[in-house]
Formats: sequence, structure tokens, C-alpha cells
Amino acid sequence: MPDRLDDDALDPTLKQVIINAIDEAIDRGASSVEAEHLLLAISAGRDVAGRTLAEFGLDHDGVDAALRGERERSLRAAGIEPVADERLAATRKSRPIWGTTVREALRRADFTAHRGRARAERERLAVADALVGVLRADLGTVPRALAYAGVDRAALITRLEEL
Amino acid sequence: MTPPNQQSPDPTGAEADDLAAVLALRELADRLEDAAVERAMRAGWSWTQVAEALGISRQAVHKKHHRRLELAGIELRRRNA
Repeated sequence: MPDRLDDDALDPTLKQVIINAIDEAIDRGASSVEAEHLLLAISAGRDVAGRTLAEFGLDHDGVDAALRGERERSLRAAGIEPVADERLAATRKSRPIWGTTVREALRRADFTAHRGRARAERERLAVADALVGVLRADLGTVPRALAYAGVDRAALITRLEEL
Repeated sequence: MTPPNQQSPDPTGAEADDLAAVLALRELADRLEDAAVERAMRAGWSWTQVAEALGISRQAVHKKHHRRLELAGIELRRRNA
């Protein structure tokens, strides 16, 4: 479990988003919850983080398409054509493990970024703080997916940090 | 403001592509294994037969997939299991 989930003071909205990330992982047949699943869960929200993602073309469908595109390109780099979802249909484990990338994303997030604000405001922005943690990864699935989708990751981070 | 590290390699460069291919292949192999083992067990294969086809021990395949397939409600073959 990511260390942040052990934190009793964790904002309930963020906690719910992290729990939703588990469902995103299960829906995709993933054996671990990774940063991309947290990104999917955040993009499904209607809070300021979800709305900001949507402004950059990354609503839930947009993130899903970007991630699929990244996997297809990565497989093709090894000479493999994508396999049809029907052939990959299987009963999944009810609870995937926590992956390294989601732990790293929460570690990179600066949850003290808005410490000068009122508690309600800090809670409102906790999901945006987590999103910045996801976006700060320079290598791996998420930055590749965003690059291929033509999203300006640096501009998105700047926008979120200005909230 | 913390912009992405400018010193970092290109996430879509040739080296990153090779490394991403490894990740994508592992993920694909894991998902294909889950699907293929489930399909075989639904078709009545025993653990021993699935293990032999995968070239691993019966204990290994059982440990990895038994709980998942029980959850799926698949009637597992006991004979030669």
C-alpha cells in the first residue's frame, strides 16, 4: 500500500481517487496498480485536477486512448502487433499489488504545496498535488503516453502548480 | 514551479522504446498467461498438463493461478491434478 494511504490525515477525496485507481488496474487486467491507473482515476473526476486534465485533452477517454497508443507503439518496437482484447479476457485477482510507479508518484507529490491555505482548500487541491506527482516522472509509461498524444507535460505541471 | 528535468533522456527515444517494449511484453505475457491458463482449465485440462505445456512445475502454476480460477468458479479437475 502506498505510504500516503497509511496517513490518517489523507484527504478523503484523494483516498477515494486512489481506491478508484485499483478498479482502473483491475479493469485493464493489470497485476499491479501503477501511476497510469492513478492518472485514469484522476481524469475521471470532476474536481479541479480532472477539469485541468480535460483542458489538455486528457479526459478519461483521452487518457485511455493515450495509454493504449503508448502500449501499441511499445509492442511494435519489439515487432509485436497488438493482441485482441478478447484473447486476453481472464478472471482477475480481486486485488492487484501496489506498483513502484504509483508509490513514486505519491512520493514526488508535494502535499505541502498549499500549506498556507485553509484546510478545505488544501483538501480540494490534494488530488491536483497527487497529479503533479504522476506528471513529474520523466521516463516510463505516462510521459511516453503524453508525449505521443502531443500533450505539453511541462505546461500541464505549471498550470497545476498555479492552482 | 518544477519543470520536468531537462537532463532526463527523451522518453520516446530509441533506448526508451526498447525499455518500454520490455515492459509492454511482460505485461502482455502476464495477461496472455492468465487468459490461456483459464481457457485450458475451462476446457478440462489438469494442473499437470497446463504446467507441462508451460514448461514449469505443477506447484508453480497451481500457486500462481489456483485462487484466481477458484474465484472464477471453474470446476477444477482433481484427477491428475
